[in-house]
Amino acid sequence: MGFETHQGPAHVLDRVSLAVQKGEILGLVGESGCGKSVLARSILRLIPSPPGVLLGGQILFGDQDLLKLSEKSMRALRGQQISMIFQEPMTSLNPVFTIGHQMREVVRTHKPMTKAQANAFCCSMLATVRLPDPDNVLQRYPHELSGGMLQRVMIALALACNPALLLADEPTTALDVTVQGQILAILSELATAQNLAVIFVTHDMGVVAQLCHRVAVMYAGQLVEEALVHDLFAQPAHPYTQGLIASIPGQTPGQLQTIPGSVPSALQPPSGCRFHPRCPKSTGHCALHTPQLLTVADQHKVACHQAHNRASV
Amino acid sequence: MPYLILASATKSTLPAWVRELGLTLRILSRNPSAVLGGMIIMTMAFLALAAPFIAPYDPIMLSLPDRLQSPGSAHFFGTDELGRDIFSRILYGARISLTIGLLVVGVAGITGSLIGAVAGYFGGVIDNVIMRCMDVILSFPALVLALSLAAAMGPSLVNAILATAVVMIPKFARLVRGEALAIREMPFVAASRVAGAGHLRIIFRHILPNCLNAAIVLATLTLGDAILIAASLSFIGLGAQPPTPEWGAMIASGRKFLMDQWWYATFPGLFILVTVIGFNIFGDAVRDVLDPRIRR
Repeated sequence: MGFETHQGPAHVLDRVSLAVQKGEILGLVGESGCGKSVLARSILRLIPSPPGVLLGGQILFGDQDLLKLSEKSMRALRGQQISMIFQEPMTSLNPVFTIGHQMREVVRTHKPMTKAQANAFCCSMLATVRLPDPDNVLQRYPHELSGGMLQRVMIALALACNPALLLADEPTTALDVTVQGQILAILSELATAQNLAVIFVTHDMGVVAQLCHRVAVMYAGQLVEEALVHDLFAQPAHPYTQGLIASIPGQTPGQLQTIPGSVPSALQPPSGCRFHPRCPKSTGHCALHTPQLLTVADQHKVACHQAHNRASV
Repeated sequence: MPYLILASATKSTLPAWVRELGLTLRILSRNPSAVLGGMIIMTMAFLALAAPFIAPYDPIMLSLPDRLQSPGSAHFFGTDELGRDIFSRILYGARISLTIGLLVVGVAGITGSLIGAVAGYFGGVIDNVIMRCMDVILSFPALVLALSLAAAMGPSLVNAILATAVVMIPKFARLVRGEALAIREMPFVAASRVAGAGHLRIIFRHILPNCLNAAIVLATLTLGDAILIAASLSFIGLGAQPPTPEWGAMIASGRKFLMDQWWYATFPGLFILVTVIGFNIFGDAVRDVLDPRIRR
């Protein structure tokens, strides 16, 4: 996946390969600007073109390649099979219609229902995300609800048609911590109940540890490490992952750990390993050779020369 | 506790949009210029609707013995050169002018908004082609273009309305396009695409309803202009034809007598003035109220 820019093409996603199974929550972590959201959006083909250009690759859903589908069959798939929750619940609903109006519309697009049936269905959906007084909520406009309530509405909407895959693009970033906890609990409960595959995009390692089964770490458009959540936190193999985990606040009181430097531009990524200019362990080798994503332990893949040497693959 | 809002909100059995309309009207009623403008508009609307009951004379019946009477108890605003009562003609003229205004704004508002929404939503080449066409229309002075269009189509009231509407279309197209550019980037549009919505549904469900506020404000402000342009066309003879009691046409025929019978052209002129000012004041107030940044 790349973008045409005024300064030439930018390769925002580069050789990223991910798989997620039913009932599994895959965490996708990385700094701002590393391509997480682009990845989630390109699965649904939401990237406008131009400027988005797809340079190659495939996105398999079941056994169909989403990139080869017509726009019409893609539309049928969106909402029905794959849904998405966005970062800002406050602006994810149309401000000029009531919650009920919008929910009914989505539900009735995909399932033939009378207005009353749709209303009852929406009520029950709101109840499953533990919104109190769903009848009243349906009559409200989005600005009359809080962020946490709106995000619950969005989750209810996303799950209304029993999708197989849910893309959650930082759904809790805009919420405060207590509400975040409630939302995560609801998400994980519903994902288990509906046997849902979830790709959970976030930059919050704490959320990952709490919610996800497996984690993929992205850096500058590339996948640098992929592991089960326990393995990743116990034995992070890539220096970038180690840096991310060390940056979780509260481990060393009174001091915040950071990774020095900032995310490189996608226009001119560094040569070799893209992380080498910021990596504490980089050698001359790293600047010249791009590390491959290799398996170093059971279900644990990493793209780092040092880690490869240690595991001697 | 995030449920506080719900607990304190009064439970209403009214549909949600009725609540919102009520709120808007209440805020409008607190705004002095909205009240003034609204009162002028309502008076005009009342005069227009009740014309057959209020008017003391038939607006088109000739009565040559009474020609060019000065204002008095028999004829409030005097009579014209054919003995018709000017007050009665003005009352019936209000019907014509208000209808013209509403039709022009309706036609221009709907067409212009659709054009603008399509241009803004799709962007790119479509946007460029459409907006350059709009720029061509905008590059002519409104009255001159309306005049040439009306002349080309032939003098009649319907043609004058169409010509005025065409001139007004770019205003709406520009406004709605600008709004559409911003709205199409909103997360709820992406969310709606995720839920499987197509272009048409997004334009009609998301883009246009969110432009409604701005379009209503522009429509109220444009009503005055539309009435003025249509009256100007009638004045030149390209709009309403005799014996239709149209204000612009009345001024035109009264012009010849202005030196000796001042009332003939003055009263229709005053009514045009007051009506246009009423719509402009009201439009300004509506803009203040409907602008969400100032509201609440």
